[in-house]
Amino acid sequence: MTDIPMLVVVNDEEQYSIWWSDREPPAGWRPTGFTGTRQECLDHIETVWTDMRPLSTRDRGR
Amino acid sequence: MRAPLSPVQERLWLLQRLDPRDASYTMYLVHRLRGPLDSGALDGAFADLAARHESLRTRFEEEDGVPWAVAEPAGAPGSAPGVEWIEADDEEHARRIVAERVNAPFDLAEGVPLRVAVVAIGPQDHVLCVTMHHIIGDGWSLQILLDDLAECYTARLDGRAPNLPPLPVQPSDYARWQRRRAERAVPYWQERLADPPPPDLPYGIGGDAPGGVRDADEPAYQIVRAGREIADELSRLAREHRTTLFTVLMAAYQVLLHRHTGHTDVLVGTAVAGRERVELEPIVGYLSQTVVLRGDLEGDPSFLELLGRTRQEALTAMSRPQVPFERIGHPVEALMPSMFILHTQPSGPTRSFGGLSVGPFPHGYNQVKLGLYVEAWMDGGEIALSFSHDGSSGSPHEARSVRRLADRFLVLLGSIAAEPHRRISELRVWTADDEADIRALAGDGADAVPGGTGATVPGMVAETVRRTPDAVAVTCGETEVTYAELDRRAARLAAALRARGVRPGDVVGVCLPRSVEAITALLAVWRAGAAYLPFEPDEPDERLAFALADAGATHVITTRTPPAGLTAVDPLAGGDDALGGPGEARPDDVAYVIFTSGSTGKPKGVAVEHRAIAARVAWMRGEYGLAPGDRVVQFASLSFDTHLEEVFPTLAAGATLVLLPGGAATLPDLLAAPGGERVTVLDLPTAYWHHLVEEIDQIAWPPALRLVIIGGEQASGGAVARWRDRFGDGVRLLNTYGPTEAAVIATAADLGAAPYGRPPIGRPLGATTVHLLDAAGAPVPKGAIGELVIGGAGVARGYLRRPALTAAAFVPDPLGPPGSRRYRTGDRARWNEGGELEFLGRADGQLKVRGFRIEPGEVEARLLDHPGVGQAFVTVHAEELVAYVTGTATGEELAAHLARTLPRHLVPTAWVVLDSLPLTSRGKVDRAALPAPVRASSAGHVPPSTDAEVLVAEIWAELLGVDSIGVNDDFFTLGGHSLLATRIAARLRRAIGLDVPVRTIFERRTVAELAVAIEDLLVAELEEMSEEEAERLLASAER
Repeated sequence: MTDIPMLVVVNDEEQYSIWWSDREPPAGWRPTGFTGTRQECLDHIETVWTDMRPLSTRDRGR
Repeated sequence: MRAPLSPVQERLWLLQRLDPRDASYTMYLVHRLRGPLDSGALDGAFADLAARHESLRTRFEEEDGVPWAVAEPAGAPGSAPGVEWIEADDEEHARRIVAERVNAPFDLAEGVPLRVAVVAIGPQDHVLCVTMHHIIGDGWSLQILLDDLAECYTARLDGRAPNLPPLPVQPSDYARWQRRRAERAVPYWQERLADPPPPDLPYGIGGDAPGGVRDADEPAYQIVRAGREIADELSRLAREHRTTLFTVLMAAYQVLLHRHTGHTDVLVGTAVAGRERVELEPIVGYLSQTVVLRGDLEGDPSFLELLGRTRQEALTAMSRPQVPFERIGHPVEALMPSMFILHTQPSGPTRSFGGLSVGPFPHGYNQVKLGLYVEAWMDGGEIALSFSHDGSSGSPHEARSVRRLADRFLVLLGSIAAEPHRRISELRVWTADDEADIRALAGDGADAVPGGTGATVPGMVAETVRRTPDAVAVTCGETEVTYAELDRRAARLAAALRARGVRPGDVVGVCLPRSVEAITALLAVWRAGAAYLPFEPDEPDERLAFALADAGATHVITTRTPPAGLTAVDPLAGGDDALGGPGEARPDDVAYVIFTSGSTGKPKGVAVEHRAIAARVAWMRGEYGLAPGDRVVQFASLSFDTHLEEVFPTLAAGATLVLLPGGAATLPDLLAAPGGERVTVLDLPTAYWHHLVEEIDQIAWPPALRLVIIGGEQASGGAVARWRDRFGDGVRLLNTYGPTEAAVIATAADLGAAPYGRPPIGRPLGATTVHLLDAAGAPVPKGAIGELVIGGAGVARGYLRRPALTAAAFVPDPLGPPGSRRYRTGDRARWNEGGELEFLGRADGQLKVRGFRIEPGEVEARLLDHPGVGQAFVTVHAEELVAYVTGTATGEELAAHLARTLPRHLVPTAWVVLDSLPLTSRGKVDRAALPAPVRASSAGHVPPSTDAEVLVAEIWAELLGVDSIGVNDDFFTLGGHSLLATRIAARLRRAIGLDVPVRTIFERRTVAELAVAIEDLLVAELEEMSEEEAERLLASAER
C-alpha cells in the first residue's frame, strides 16, 4: 500500500498534506503538481513547507 | 473388539471429558415422516443399520487415561440402542421433545452415544429424531444413515434383503490408518500456522469480554439467502476459474473478515469430508477433518487474484489430515477464530423411504461451538447462509450485530458477482443502514463552539475575574489566592516578560514546581501574547535545551539555571504595570506547545491554537457542570496536556483549583487532610484510578465528590463494576479519550449503568468528528475496526518544524469544511452496536505505561547511542517499561545514560540483558519468547527483624512481586512507582489502622527507614491519646 502514487496537496492556509493521486482532492485543497510515493511526497513537503504558520496569521509575525 | 481412536476422536473425547455438559458435539438428524409408518419395520431397519455400521454399536472405555473404542459384534443382542417411540400431544409438544433431545449432551462413559426416537404427532405424522455424539459420526454420516435407513425400511416392507454394497472398511480400521497419516502432517501444520495473526472478529465476537453470556432465548444463528442470480454468477465464476463454489465463498468470507479487521493475514477453519477414497465413502464415523486456511490478502489484490491464491491454499491445506491443535503452541481460538463450511451433501434421503414423504421439521438446535460459525448450502438454486454465534462478544446486542454481518456478506457476494475484477478494498460490503450509521455516529464538527468561535480561554478567565474577583481561584497547601490576586500576579509577570523581550507569537518555556506561581505563569504567557511550553520541574537539562531550541523559545520562566543562550525569568518577577495590559490572544494564535514522544527518536512539539483549546474548555465546563463552589484537584503534571482540562475549565467557571504541592501521588494524603472532604471533581489517569479502586475502602473519598474523569488507557470493566458497587449513581464516572494533537480529549463516555464487556470511550465531543478509516481511507461502520481519525475544532496546528510528520498526520478532511484537516491518531477502534467507540490499541508500536504515551522507538534509539548496546527492544510488562538489550552495558549504566536525555517516564525500570533477541520465523522480535523481567533484592540481604520491618517487607513483596525482601532494599530500585506507593499506604492502613502519608513512602525508601517512620507515627499516636485511652489500649493488648 505504501507504493501507490500520491499527490502533494495544499490548502488556502498554505498547509501541506498528501492525497491519493487517483482521487479528486477534497474541496479547499489543490494539487501542487508533485506526485510520487507517499515517502517521496513527504520528503518533498519537508523541503517546500518552510513557513508552517497558517497564511492568515503570518502578517502578525506569529 | 477394542481399537485405538483416531486423532480427531481422541481430541473430542478429551474435550467432552473437560466439559461433560457441553452439548455442542451432539449431531442430529430430524425429519418429518408423513404417511403410514410401520413401526416393526422401522425397529427392524434400525437393527439392520446397527449391524451394518460398527459406529452404531461402539462405546468408549478408558484405561489408564487412554480411551479405547469398543465395538460389540454385529447383531449381538443389546449391542445398539433401540428406537424409542414417543407420543406427542401436538406439534408444539413434538418440537419441544425434539429440541430437548438435540440440545442434550452425551456421557461418553455411558454406552453407545446414540439415541433414536420416533415422535408421533398423529397416526400418519411422525418425526424421526436421531442424535449421536460427533465422535461416532460426522455430517456426512447423517446422510448415509438416512439413506441406509430408508433402504433397510423399504426392504423390510418389501420382504427382501437391503440392497446395500458391502463395507470394506470399518471405523476401527480407518482410525489406525489415520493415526499414522496425521502424524506425518504435523510438521506441515506447525510451519503453516506459526505466528498466527490476532484473532479479531467483527464486533469483538470470539473475544473474552467479561459477562459474555448469550441470552438463551435469543436465536444463536442468523440465516440469510443469496438469490439465484448471485448464486448462478458465483458458480459460473468458480467454473471459469477452474475451482469450486466453496473456494469462491471462502475467498469472499476472508474479504468480509479483512474489511472488518484490517488484517491481511486471515485464518479461517473449515471442515473437509475426509472421504477422498472410495472405500471411505459409505462409512458412518467421524471422518471429517478440521483444517485451517491461511488467507493472504496483502497488497489489496483484485478478487480474482485472491481467488487464485485461495484456490492454491485450499488445494494444499484441504488434502491434509486435521490440524493437530494441541501441537501448534497456540489456543484453538487463535488458530481458528471462526469457521466457514459449505455443505454439499443433500439434505434429504436420496432413496425411497417405503412410501413415506420425508420433509423438514424444526430441530431447535441451539449449541454453538465457536465465536462465529458460518455454514452455507444450496437450497432451491439459492445460497443459504447460517451465521451462528456464541455470545462471546459480551454484548447484549450480539444477535443484531450478527444479523448485520450476514446482511453485509450478502452485499459483498452481490458485489463480487457483479465486479470480480475489483480490488478487495473497492468491493461493496456496507449496507444502506451502515452508510447512514457512519454519518450519524461521526458527530458534528460544525457544531457551534460554546461561547462563539471568537472565544479564547484567557478571555473566559478574564470574565471570571470581572464576575467574582474575591472568589478563591487556587489553593496550594495553606495558601489561597483569589481571582483578583491571580489576575494581578499574571499581569505583573506578563509585564516582566514583555520587558525582557517576549513578543506576541513567541514560545515561552515554563519549568516550575506545582505552585500558584506555575498557574500564574501559564496565564502570564498568554497575557504577553505568547504560547507556553511546559516542562517537568526536574526535566533533564538536555531535553529542556532541545525542546526550547526546537520550539524557537528564547525565554523560560524558572528558578533553575537555564540552558546556555536562554533568558530565565523568575516567576515572581514584576514589570511596569503599563506593559501588563489584558491579553490579546486571537483564536488562531498558538496557545501552547506540548512535546510528545517521537517514534524516530526525537520528541516532537505539538502546537495547539487558542480556538482549539477554547472549544474544549467550553465543552468541558458545560459537560462537567463546573460552577463556583466546585473544588477541582490539579493532578496532572504540567508537561502533559491533561493539565489544561483541570486548570482552565475550573478558572473559566469561577471554581477553585486545588494544587498538590507534594506531587500527584500525595492525592490520598490531600483527600484525607482537612479540606479534602470538600473536593468535588477529580481528573485521574486511568491507571492511577485502577490502583485507587483496588484499595477503594482505604481511600478517604470526599463526601462532596460528584465527578471523576478518567482517561489515558483502557478502563477495566472489573474496576468500573467495583466503582459502581461503591458509588452507584452518586458519583459520575466519565471515561475520556484523546491525543494531544486533538486538544486534550476528543471523545467521552459516561460509564453509567453496569457496562458490559470493554468499557467504551464514547462518542465525539461537541464541535468534533470521529471517523474510523480502513487502510484505503474509507470510513467503516459498527463492528469493524478502523484507524480513529479526529476532525473539527480541536485539531492542532501541527508539529513544530516537522513539515513531513505534520503533513502525514494532519490530512485533508473530505467530510469537514473546505480546506479543513483531520488528525490520524494511529489508534485502532470500533463502534459497538450501541454506537459507542471501543479503543483497541495501537496500529503501530506506541506504548502506554501508567498513562504515559511512549514511542519505544525513541527509547530504543537512545539505547543504541550507547556504545555498549548491540540490539534493543523496549516493551511494557506489568505496568513497567522494560528494556531488552544485547551487549556489554548493564541496566544500571543504561538507566543513567537515558536519564541524561529522557524524562523519567521514558526511562525503563526493568532491564534484561540477553545474548540475542529472540526472533519469530518472520523475523520480528518474538514477544512470547522474551523472558519476564526478574527482580532480585539487593546483594547485601538483611532479613527484616522488627514487627514493623516484617510488615513492610510483606506488603512490598506482594505489591512488587519480589520474594524475600531485605531491610536495605530500596522501593524504587525494586520497581516501585507512585501508583504502588498509594497502595502501600492503603495496605498499611488496612493492616494496622495507621495513616502513613504517601509522601512518607517516597521519602523513606528502604524497608528499614519506612519501618522506623511507622514506629514513630505509632508513638506519636500514643502520645496524643489521653492517659485513660492509652491505659485502655494497653489493657486490651494484654488480654
